Amino acid sequence: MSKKANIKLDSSFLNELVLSTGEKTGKKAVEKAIVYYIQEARQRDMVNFLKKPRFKKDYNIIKLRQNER
Amino acid sequence: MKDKHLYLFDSSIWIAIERGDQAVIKKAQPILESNKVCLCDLIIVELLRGARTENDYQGVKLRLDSFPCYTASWSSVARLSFELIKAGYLPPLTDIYIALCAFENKKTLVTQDKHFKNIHAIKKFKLDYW
Repeated sequence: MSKKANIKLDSSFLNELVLSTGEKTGKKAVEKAIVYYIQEARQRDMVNFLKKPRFKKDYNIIKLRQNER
Repeated sequence: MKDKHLYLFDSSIWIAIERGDQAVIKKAQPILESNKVCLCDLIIVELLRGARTENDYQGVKLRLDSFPCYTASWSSVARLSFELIKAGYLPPLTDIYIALCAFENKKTLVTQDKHFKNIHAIKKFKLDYW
């Protein structure tokens, strides 16, 4: 799924972004930067995300590893 | 996007965070906030199979997929398993794989699983036991 977006960017930032990402076009560099930013934000939010129970109550990985020997 | 030393959080650490272990959360939070955490493929498998519901599975997967993810070579797992058995240890293959993931990719393994200490006795890798 993709969404079209026309945005004005500071050309010096865009040129630097292209150089730093190693991409050939501004479009690809912006896409890469957005993915990078969102992934890092998701990493930082993990403790908050895990405040809600996500794993089975009795899920004991250390015991399970022993049983799978 | 410069290189930084990454900490490989074992499944036991993620589960401790989810269970609200404050001592673990206090240590994990600053490392997570500085984006210095990584995973290995087997840890992702272990965590996903423990998800409570389909929604939790999708949510956990989306977030885990945002971390750098490493692998180890199975031929190294075979070799180290052989050496461990010779030394009188029989740790689970998952532990050996995860330990080798830390060793081969030069990451610090952070865990609550004491069995990694047996592997560490034979194969030196960076290990932090919480």
